[in-house]
Amino acid sequence: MLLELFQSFLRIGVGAYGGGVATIRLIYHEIVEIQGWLSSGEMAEVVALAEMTPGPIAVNAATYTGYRVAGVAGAGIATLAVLLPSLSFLLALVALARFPTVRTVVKRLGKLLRPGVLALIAAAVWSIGRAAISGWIPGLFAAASFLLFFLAREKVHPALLILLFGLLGVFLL
Amino acid sequence: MAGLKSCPCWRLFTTFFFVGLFTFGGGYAMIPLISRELAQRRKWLTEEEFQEALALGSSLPGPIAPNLAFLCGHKIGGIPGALAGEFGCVLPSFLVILGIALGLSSLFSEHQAQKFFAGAGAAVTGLVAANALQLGMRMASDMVELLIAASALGLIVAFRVHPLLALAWAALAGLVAKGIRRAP
Repeated sequence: MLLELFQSFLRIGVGAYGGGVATIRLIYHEIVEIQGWLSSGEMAEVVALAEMTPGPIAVNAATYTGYRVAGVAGAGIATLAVLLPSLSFLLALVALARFPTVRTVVKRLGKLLRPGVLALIAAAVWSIGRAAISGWIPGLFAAASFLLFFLAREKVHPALLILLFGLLGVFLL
Repeated sequence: MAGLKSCPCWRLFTTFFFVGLFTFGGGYAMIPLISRELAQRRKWLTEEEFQEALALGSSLPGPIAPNLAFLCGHKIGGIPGALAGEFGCVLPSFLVILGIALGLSSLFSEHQAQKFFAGAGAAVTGLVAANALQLGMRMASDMVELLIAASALGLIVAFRVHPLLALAWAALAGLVAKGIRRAP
């Protein structure tokens, strides 16, 4: 069972490209349709849970499914498996970065990708905002944190703002 | 690379643990926290190094947040730093989900957690928007780059193109624009 868990989440880790929503379909396919470890209702709960808790959804789903299938050891194995592909990729890249040519290529690529990354970040604002801003009060929260970031960015920690507006949400929403 | 001499692994681990704790809503929610903790407060990363990590972390396979943590950690403390960053960033979500799976979630109501997330998510939206604006302003001298960014954003938001394809489109457009500028 642990081996199956490992293999499944290894596959999810390979396919989880670009993060977020694109990976949900893949996780669903692997966990619900192929393995039948969770029902589609449970999977919906996992997605909701992942949205409410910190961390990437692929990692959240791995920990939860791993626990359900094989306890704490399963949770550990599935989480490691989902991270392993990108980790090996990164380690290989870092090993290659010893060569100056590779470093130059990476630097150039980084510059070339800048506008694309800006677009990805703006798209993330759109998708996080669409989920979170459900009325005028959360809209006001977003506007306030946006302004506070610029007005007092050296003094107010972003984590403090997230915590503050989260707590305000509990009382006002 | 100066960090290699005295690898601040433990501090990298705790810093990314802290960052991971507040990463609501996907990898890019880390941006305000990383730039605050690593670039502004500890001066471990330059803006340019962070940009490079962002570009690489977005285009490599796997979830973005651990990729970013690995790359930033590597810039600061080599491979030990990279692993410290990666696992530090993932550990909070692992512990939280494990806690919920073990049944600790009955300590607080799901309804209240939802409200907390809605408020926190709104704040994250504002913060990441502010960071996007900052990045955009830094590019504002280059209209071509801004146009490319806008077109890639349109592809993702309006046409639901996969983020990676939009990234490839932006890189291709960038190459073409460079070629045209170089041509006499």
